[in-house]
Amino acid sequence: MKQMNSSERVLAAANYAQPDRVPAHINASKWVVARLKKALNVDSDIDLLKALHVDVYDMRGIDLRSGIAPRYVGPEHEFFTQGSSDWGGNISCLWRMRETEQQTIAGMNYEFSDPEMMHAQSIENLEEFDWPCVDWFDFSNIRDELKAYEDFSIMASGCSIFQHITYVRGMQEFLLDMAGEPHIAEYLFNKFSDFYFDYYNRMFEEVGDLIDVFALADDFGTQNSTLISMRMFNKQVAGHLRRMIDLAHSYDMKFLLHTCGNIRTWIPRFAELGVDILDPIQPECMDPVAVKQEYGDIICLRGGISVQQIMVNGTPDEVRDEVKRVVTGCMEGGGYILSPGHPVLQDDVPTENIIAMYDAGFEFGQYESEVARCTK
Amino acid sequence: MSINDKLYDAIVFGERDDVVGMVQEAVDNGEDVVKLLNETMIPALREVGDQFSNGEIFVPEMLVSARAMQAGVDIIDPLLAKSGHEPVAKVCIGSVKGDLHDIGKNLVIMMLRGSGFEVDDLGVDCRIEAFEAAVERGAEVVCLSALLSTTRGEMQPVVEHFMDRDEVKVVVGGAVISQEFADQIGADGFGFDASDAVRAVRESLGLSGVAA
Repeated sequence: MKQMNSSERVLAAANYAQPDRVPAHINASKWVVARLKKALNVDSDIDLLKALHVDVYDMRGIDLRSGIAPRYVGPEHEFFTQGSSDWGGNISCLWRMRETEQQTIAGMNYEFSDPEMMHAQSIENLEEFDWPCVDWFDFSNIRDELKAYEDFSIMASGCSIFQHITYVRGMQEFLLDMAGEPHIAEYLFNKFSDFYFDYYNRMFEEVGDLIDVFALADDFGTQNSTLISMRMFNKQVAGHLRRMIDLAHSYDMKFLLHTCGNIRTWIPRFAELGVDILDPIQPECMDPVAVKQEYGDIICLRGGISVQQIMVNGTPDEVRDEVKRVVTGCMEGGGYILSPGHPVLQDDVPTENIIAMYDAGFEFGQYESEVARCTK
Repeated sequence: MSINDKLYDAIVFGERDDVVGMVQEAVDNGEDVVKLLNETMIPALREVGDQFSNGEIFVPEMLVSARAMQAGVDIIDPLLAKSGHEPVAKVCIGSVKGDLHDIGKNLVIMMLRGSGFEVDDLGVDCRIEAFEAAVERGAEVVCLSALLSTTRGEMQPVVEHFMDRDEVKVVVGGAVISQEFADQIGADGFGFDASDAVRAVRESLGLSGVAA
């Protein structure tokens, strides 16, 4: 089969056409990125992505903090530098989240400060938050900066219509709003949805022709079930999600939804709303091979390699075996992108296991030629 | 429908204002608040926990019910203390060192308090010293919560710290925790959700999993 470029490869997979090989994606914390670069003897993010056979460039950077972002041109702000894009797409700047670097027994981790609006009692209180505005940003720098990544399939990420609300309001407080004070929940849903719609629409007006995938991350699942009922999702959330999906499709992009946890029963609903790619297919909750068999004709899958168990506790050989199982089980007919079962690799995952994962993905993800298949 | 049935339903459906009104009325009428707690309120929250475990309700509904329950308990707490009512036991709970997630922990607290336990909430990012101090304040069970694979490793040092003290039990839970992991580190119990955490804590103390 003719070798494809990364964009062709990702789009073939997302269109249920068989690419030349299974495409791959990575995000990782900055500590993991540093270790990988050292182990693979590379300096740049681009060279790291190539060394791991990764096809997707996430515009916020591998570490979701040092990517390509519009320049900040708004009022003086403690989280942004005037005239600079050095905020790199880090969403904690948008939502005034003070990040701390936590040393855990397993390595370094980012955590966020208490949500600013967790004690708000009314919409009037919430109006006091320093809500971001799309006019704060100048997107004219992005096209030039994206040129360096033209070998990759470009993904715009950082959107959220549920999870980011919990960073500002607090998870417990927001779920109580949804169940007990829906007018407050509605206010917050609208604020976030309106901002992100405007932000990404402005971005896509500038560089939409260069972007293959628009990604939104909202964790609707817990380890065992969904966080909220389908009824609540349909009533309060689905409309905002659909708005972002339609935005992606209006620019001829694929839409990726990230949601950790056991959302298996919701997959048909996501497909019905127009989600093209579903991530991360957390394998501790649902086997990716089984999910592909059941839903592979309605949604493309990204993910499926366990980071709670095998990537953390296994040997490189065990990682290789699991990647072989998942990749060969999911690759038929396209519709699968290799990625970890939590998309941002954390500091507890050994370097050798990450390299083993992507090497195995490259080895076992090659689609055979028609001749080879026919003569088997 | 008796007033107690209405109170039961109000807790199950998370009608906080109704719970407050009915509990206050009971107090004003000089009713036996211990009986109200044990025969109406705790069973109501237990049903909420069962519905959650069965997948009939989800986290938002559980939070609303627990909030309604707590509003009622806040009214009768001073009277319970005066009557000499003792909690089932005193427990402490915290998210382990490095872990700032707390919604699971908070659900467990709601279920434990709603089941008659006195709970010392140690918050998040708790070092061993915090758990030790809570035990010195009278906690008989140390409950540990961890959401992340990067922080679950902090549970074993806590278990080891209390290993030689039979009078202190350690019960664990969280998204990345399993019975297998709990057994590996030598914990005294594992709860797979907030409702099951109550069972695990009760059984660690040698009590039956469900209050009579």
